[in-house]
Amino acid sequence: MASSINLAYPGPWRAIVVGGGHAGCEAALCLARGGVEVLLLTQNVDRIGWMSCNPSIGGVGKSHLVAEVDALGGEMAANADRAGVQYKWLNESRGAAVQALRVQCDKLAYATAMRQVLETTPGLHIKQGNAAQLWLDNGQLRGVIAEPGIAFAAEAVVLTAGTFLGGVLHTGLRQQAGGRAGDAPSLGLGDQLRALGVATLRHKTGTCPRVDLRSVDWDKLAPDLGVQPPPPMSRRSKRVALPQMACHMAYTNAKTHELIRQGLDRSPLFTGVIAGTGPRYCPSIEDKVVRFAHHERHYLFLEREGWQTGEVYVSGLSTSLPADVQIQVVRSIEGMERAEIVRFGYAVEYDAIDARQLGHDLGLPALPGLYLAGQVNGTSGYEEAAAQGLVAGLAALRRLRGEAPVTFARGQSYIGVMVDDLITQGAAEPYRMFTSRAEHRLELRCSNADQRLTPLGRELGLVGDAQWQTFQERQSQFARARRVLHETIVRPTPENLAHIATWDAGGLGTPSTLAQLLCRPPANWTALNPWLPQDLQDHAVDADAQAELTTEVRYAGYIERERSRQARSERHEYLKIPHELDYTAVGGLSAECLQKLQQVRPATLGQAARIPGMTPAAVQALAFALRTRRGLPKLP
Amino acid sequence: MVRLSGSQAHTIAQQITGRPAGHAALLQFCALTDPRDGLTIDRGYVVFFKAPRSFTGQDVAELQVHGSPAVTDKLIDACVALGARLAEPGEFTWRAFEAGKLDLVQVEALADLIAAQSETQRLTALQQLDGGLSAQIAKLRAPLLAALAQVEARLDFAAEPHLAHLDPAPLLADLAELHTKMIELAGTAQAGQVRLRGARVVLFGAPNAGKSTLLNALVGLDRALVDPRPGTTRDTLEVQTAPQGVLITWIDTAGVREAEDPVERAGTARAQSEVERADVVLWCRSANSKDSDDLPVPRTQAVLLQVATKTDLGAGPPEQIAVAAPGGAGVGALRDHVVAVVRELARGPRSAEVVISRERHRHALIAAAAGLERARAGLANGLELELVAADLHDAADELGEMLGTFATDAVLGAIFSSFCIGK
Repeated sequence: MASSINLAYPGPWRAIVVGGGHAGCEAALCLARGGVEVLLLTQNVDRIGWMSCNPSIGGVGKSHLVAEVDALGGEMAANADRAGVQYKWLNESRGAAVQALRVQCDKLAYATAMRQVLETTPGLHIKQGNAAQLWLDNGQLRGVIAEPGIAFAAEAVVLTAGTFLGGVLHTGLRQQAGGRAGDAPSLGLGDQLRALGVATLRHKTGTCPRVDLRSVDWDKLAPDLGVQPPPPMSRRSKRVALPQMACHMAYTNAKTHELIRQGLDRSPLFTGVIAGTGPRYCPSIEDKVVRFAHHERHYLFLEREGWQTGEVYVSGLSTSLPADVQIQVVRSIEGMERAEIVRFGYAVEYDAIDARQLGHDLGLPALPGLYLAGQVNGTSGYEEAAAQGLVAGLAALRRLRGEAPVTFARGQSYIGVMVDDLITQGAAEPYRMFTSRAEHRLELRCSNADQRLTPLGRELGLVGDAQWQTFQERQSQFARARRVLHETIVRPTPENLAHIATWDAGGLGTPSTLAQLLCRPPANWTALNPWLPQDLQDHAVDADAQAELTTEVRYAGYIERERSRQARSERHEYLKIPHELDYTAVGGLSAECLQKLQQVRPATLGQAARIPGMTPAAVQALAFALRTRRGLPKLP
Repeated sequence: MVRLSGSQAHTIAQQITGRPAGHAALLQFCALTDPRDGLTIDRGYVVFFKAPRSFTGQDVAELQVHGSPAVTDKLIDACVALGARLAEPGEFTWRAFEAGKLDLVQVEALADLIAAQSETQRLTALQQLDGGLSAQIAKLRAPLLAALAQVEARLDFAAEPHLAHLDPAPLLADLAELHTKMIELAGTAQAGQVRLRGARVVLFGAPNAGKSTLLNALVGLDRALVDPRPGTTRDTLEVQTAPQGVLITWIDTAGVREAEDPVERAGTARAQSEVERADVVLWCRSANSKDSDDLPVPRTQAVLLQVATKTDLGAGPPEQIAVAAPGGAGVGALRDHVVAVVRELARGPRSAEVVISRERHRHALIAAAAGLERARAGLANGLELELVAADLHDAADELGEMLGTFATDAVLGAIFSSFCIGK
């Protein structure tokens, strides 16, 4: 391998991030902000921070990850606020823990702003080059070799290859190699990883056709303006930068479905040409029409990709049908009868590594110093990628600073849930975050991501002074408000009863704290005004803080129950399993469980319990072995 | 019989019996030989079972020999020499559970079956072992997971316009029906307990009401110390019999009165606590004495039978069953009556196909029902859907724990199979 090196490119960086997508950007920023010089090596610097598929950031589960990345000093949320053109609340009435923000972005503005952040971050170097292989020396990682034979040395490498490993693009039965339309695939890296014994999976995803703004009859489509004024996604953003735009709703119909069915014989999905596994939750339109044949229509969202472009993203119409079918399908939709497709939709098949080989730091134990993040680990989505980028970047940073790795617990963050899911269960299909994956859902809210993670981010050196100061101010306000809520007692005096009568006919039987009053359904912060000191009345506390404090009080009982439920099933969650445990000596394990344990090598008993196919009895056996140290070397 | 289970079970048994393992589940006559010295241990039979079609789910060999300790010891010794090790208590069942051959409820039922003394016990345990109860729990859990899928789909796929609304009415009806079924099943606990552990029949009354004499007559033995002086019985005494095949634990208690003596007071307290956990209480009052007249009616959920004792010395009121224990008059009739009552208890509520028999099951069902009720109330009152989901998860987890399984994957699976989701 060393023979292919033409030039050893000298530089001050100690780490290399391969890939400039959402994972790569967070990884590189994390390293540079943590004080380690880093080289971001990307195939195409014009595609840094590029939104290859939909132009949105956030959504249920996903915005939870974004809020956590934000709380840890990451960039995604702040960047969305620089490029956001439409903000939408999801699940507004379904509870504080599942409430989420979805931000439609100006694609070009997003990429440009992100690139600008990278380019102005000290210690962050950017180079264009196709990473052909890892630079290995006697089995040790030395860096990355880019085409044509330019070697970059580094002590740690974060690989964020996205959909580029062995990427193949499909439109109809035509195929071409590529990681994304217009970009070449990465062919050597996947082979090299496999040669190193890394198991890979074949995944598939797809994107929709884009249509020309001028060819759509907008008057026929219902507009959605989003939230006005738009609420910033990041706690660091003061405001949303760009003017807002509407998206429009459209529907497929019987004719659309008929056209799709007629085209199935030339669909790579239905003719078996595509072998990769696609995500069930993000199916192509042909999938939806076939699997849900009884549905009369499927809805679509038309989202303009930015103020500087006339391209419109047709959300809901992801497809790999042949070009002629795509034209007819698009034109069968009301409002799009004369639509012109600018770019056709396509499916992409690519290699993902089996993430069960990774540790909680997303490092590959077989090659110390190598970390993997993003879609290459079998996930889908910008948000999942960004969160992993931060985890991997942080792990590399800790390694280079000679510090112990940080593990994110499932009970602490969605990041922890995702990493644990990936390395324990792998991603048989592209992995997307759902709130139902989090056992501690009621506790893991977007609205308290800062309280959960910003102190950790500060401790790790990722949270800047400005963010830290804002956080501390908010915390001291919260602390004071909590004290007042729990310590102020309202007695049933005529005056108090008169106040209460303005919002609740129920009156007041016994003296209550303000917190107890706040738990009574019609009560809100404003209702507490008569008893609150000036600086905590509704006009002095922002709506966000009012909502969060109210949720804390109202959910306390539920969260207690959620914790005890988890405590029961995860009594041994954090019981560490020593790496040297000999599973064959544990006893009482079926061959299947034994094999799975040996493959995954879980770090804790909780992780072992979540390995698919592990029986409760096997977990018990393992717990017993750990208590009696069966299968472990004798203690000195 | 010596049973071998595990990857080497067949090899070891073949070396001892010289029989091929190919004939699965076939009884083969053989000489059992210790391969170390080539000497015959005994003549008997060997049966091979091939994984996963065995009790433990592993390769199993069963060696049947004459039951003397000398023979079995020698045979076990030979097996161990060939690489086997002695099973820990319950290890075969453990392996069956581990292999997914039995769920938790069935494991418990197996323990009950092994311990069964009466025909009712055997039948109850067998029904649970055959999966009757597990199937019943699964039947309760399936609609619960379906309800959860409905709710979770609304939480995780909020951007899908067709999942924007959740009509609470049908869901509320489903939950109410489910709640009723859970409470019904939980209500079979007494029947299950009576079937499996027999009925607890407590003799209760004032001192010197003749309870101990009656106990002796009912069980046909001089078990309890009797004396004409009041307060002879200071502690409770249990005697188990099985009249007409019905398992009954008869419990004699100390007479209840206002007492100064601390020992007697402790005896009274014990009597009271026996009454509280009794299935049947025989409230004994002497026909020739007014001692019992000011005693209050015993506080109990049990079936209360009024008994007039010592009817040889006077007549009791007509609503009381008359017995004159020493002579035996009326005792047989009383015993028959108790047996009939216990049979009725064991039958349980009319609708019960399957009964539960453990406190663990009852607690789980009650807790599940409580979670369900909270979810129902929350849904009806327009509480946030995520809180409704939390309560449904509580309920589902309780049922899952009963069987030893958990939910999350099952819920996601249900979502994907029943909804069209995608952007």
